[in-house]
Amino acid sequence: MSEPKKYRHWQLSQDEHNITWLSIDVADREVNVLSYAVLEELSDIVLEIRNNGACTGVVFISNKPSGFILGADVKEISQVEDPNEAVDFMHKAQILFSMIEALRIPVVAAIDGLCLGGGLELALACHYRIASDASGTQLGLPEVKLGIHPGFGGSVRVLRLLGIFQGMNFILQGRNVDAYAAKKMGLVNDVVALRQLRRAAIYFIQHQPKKTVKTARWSTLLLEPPLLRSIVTGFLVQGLKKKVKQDQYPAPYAVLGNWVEVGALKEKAFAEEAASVGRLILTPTCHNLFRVFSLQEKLKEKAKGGEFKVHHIHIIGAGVMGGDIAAWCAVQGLQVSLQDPSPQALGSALARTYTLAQKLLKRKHLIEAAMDRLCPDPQGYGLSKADLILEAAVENLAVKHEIFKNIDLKAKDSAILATNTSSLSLSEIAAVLKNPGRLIGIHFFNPVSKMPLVEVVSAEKTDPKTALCGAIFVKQIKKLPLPVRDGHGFLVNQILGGYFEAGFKALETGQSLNAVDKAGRNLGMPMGPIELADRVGLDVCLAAAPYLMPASSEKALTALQAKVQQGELGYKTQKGFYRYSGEKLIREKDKDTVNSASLKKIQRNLFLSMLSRALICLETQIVSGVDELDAGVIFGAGFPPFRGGLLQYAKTFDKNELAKDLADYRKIEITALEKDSAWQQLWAIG
Amino acid sequence: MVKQKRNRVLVVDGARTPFLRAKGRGAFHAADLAVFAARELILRNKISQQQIDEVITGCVMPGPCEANISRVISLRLGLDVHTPAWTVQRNCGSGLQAIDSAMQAIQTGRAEVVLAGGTEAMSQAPLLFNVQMVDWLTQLQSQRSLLGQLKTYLSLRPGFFKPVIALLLGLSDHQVNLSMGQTAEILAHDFEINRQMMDEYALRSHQKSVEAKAAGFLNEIVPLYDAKGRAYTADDGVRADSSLEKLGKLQPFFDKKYGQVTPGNSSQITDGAAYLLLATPEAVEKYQWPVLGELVDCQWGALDPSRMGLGPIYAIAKLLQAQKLETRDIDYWEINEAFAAQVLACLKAASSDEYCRRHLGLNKALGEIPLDRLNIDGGAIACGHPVGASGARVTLHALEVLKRNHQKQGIASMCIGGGQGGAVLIQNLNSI
Repeated sequence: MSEPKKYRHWQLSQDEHNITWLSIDVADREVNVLSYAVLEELSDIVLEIRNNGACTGVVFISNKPSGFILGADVKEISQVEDPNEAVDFMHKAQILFSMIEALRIPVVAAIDGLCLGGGLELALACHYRIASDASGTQLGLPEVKLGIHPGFGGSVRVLRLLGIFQGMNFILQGRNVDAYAAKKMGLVNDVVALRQLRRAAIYFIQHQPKKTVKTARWSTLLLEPPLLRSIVTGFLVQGLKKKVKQDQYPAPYAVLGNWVEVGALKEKAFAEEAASVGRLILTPTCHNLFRVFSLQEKLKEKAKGGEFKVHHIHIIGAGVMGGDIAAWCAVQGLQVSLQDPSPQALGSALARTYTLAQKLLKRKHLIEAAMDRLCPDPQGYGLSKADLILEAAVENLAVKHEIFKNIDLKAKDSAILATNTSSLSLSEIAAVLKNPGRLIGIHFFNPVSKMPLVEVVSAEKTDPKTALCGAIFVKQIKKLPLPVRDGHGFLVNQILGGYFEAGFKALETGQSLNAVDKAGRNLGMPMGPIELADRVGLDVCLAAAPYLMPASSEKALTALQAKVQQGELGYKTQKGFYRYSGEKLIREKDKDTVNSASLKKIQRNLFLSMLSRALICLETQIVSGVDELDAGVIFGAGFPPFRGGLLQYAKTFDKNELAKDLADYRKIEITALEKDSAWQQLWAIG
Repeated sequence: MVKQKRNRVLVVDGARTPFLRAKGRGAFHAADLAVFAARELILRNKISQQQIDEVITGCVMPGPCEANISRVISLRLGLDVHTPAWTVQRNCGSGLQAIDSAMQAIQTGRAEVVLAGGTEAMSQAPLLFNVQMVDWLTQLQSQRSLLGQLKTYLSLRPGFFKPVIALLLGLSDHQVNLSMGQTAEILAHDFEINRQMMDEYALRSHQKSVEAKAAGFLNEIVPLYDAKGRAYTADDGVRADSSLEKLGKLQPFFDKKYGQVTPGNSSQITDGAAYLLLATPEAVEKYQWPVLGELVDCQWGALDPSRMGLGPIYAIAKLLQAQKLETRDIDYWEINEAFAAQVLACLKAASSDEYCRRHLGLNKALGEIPLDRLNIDGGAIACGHPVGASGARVTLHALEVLKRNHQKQGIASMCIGGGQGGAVLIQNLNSI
């Protein structure tokens, strides 16, 4: 037998059964991605296999511990300037994948770890897919989150394999599934322990069970006639409209559009898929979502440059934030001691941990282990054992001073001290410490399990090494660290303060609740400002008003004050500006319909108010730059990802017009604004 | 026999869960209870994974998923995977046996630091299929033909569904065909203990428990939390409103109708766990741990199973002899209250010249065990008797009592189903 040819990204070996093992190990990368070069090599390999008559089967497997294949090379795609180039690339990949599918010998994808996007599309072109049962094994087509959809034939093959409803759901949501869920859906043929993965692959090649991708599901076959396709699509679009708007997120609509156009069974479905991606790649949404992806990577970079690992975290305060942070940390594998004098508060925190662990860990032994890691500690014994101590008690300086004096006495010298304060000054809290440089802010957002961002706050005296440890810890628990400087409300709450302020101002001028909140949602925010205030708690808003809404008039605050005095604190008391029935907000219809001009005006003011705050944050160096600011508002304040960030959005407007509006809004001269260094910084980049 | 020099055994700390009366299946399995009690010890003494050499747990009826429950607990506590752990079963003496085994490991120099205690979730005891049902299921499985299967189905009888209550079987002595309560009836008969005396004793147990809690004397209790977030902070079987009148209304349970032992003057069926951290003086110094007391010696005795309740007297006699002590040298006593009749019988036996001469081979009575020095914070009649855990609870609580009252010596003792008794001599090393 001739010596096998050497490849850079793939390793070929033939075993005693004459099965070819195709191990992917992309050179110079931590993870496997399908770049142009990787696919080009694969193309040669597949031709080689096709001409090798002795070969009895092929197994795709990864040589990297980081997983199977994470998708196409996002960086490469984002640099594509000519969409034709992208379409051409996808055509080539589609031809390659069809060639794999058409091989006469069985082809198996043996999947352990992440199998996403293009990686899953490759697996879908294989005849069989086997997944390891490790919790790290996740399969998904996250392309819609980048403003595109699968382009290597995946969106066609998924529909054939999973049927129309399940398949559409899977593509449109862009959600990952674990191995067991994948088996249940029919996405993989079997789930096995990692130790049996190779043996299972051999079994599939030797026995060739019937169920392969070549046979489509009945729903796909049945719904292929054009008339049925358009009826079903009508229903699916209705469902989709409730979640995302077409002008904001065109990709999911394009997936439905492609299917209604050409179906899923004919060969031309592939060409349609590639052309559609080519169109999407030009949209601003796509551009912005790629930016969001790179912002996410940029935040992860903030945790680089040092070694630090938390084994044991001690959390003081088992309220909503403290308890939920404890729950998150326990689920992420940390030993947690949770200090609170109230058994009820501790109990409630443990119950929430149990719910979260059930949701995220699913398996009984993992849930039990997470619960065992979280130790209720009313006496605070954990203080002297912990690597990181996080205070999440009431927002009262005197109380925090007492707590930190005690921490100073008991904590290990190496322990990092942190506060979750959102409204007090870090420097003032740190004043009672022997070494004030030891304290950082680690500011989580509510709800902790859903919000990806955590602000890592440094005061003037904070030791930069400590701040770095804070960022490393945040990354350790799978959140995105955003370094910010001490200052009222840091970044995210400052921006939200602007949002609230403009919202209350609009109310004050006689706009209805519905109009104000609708304007917020039109901007793309997940909730309008008043709904959000209700969720946050009106008492909390009122307490923070002096520094988060300094420009609010007496009148706006009186409305807030009145609500608080009546004990109508928002969602938590089921009554605030809105009424609630359990989880549900009860919206009363307005008498008059709001005209779209005034809606647009409110929306514009909400945006200007937030922008104005953003510029102040840049000016005072609360955050280090434009990208960091945009990352903060997207991952922390819920600013719509499809706009690419607050400042990114600002730059879509005409500079002079925006300057005029903003100066108007701030009631300053345009010349004053133009002298503003943050304003200049905004327009300097990109 | 040449006596080797033994290492001293110090108690660093101890903790227990609240004892929860069984009302249907409880919220916790035996291992859950143990984790709550022992995790606190590990946290508050800043114990690192590798410092513990061994984990020994007493448990009579671990759940089906808790084989060698001590190992399960050790791993769930996050202790080193290389830390060996084993489980002991000596019925009601299991918790005390765990402590004795830990003492031996330390005394002989095989271990420096041992986590020892007991746990029991009696409310989780399973219902079993009866033998007819088991046979029927076996037959069904062996049938290959459809007809055979059909025939087997037709042979199913309603009686096959009558479950066997594992807990009741466990609380019976099948060698002498007596339930534990019946052995207490025998002692009541032998020692002329009447219903009034039993109920009075039971009432005092509740009252003393209530007083102890009010005075903050039960600090060894660590709260439990269930998955729904409910906190359990205190023993829930203790009745502040108990009275002779109420106790008098209860029917005899074991010797029905004519007997005297009622649920009210017996210990309660309960879930709970208790752990102690034991170490050599060298380890205590090295890790700068506090010291709660010292375990001096542990002795065991055995007797006629139908009088198992007198077991403590046999063990105590051996212990006092071995240590050359008299009953008056003992400042405080804990004798587990399996039944009021059984404790009262122990006191009578100990002070009876005749009994001690005839049964213990002594030339006179063992001595007085004064009621006002016995179970001064109440006992199992009030707080319950999770069988595997009680031995560890009485040992821990005796240490707490000595410390609180600045007294030197105490004995904690258990009666054991099957006709045995165990007793441990403890000393307070703090200010006396």
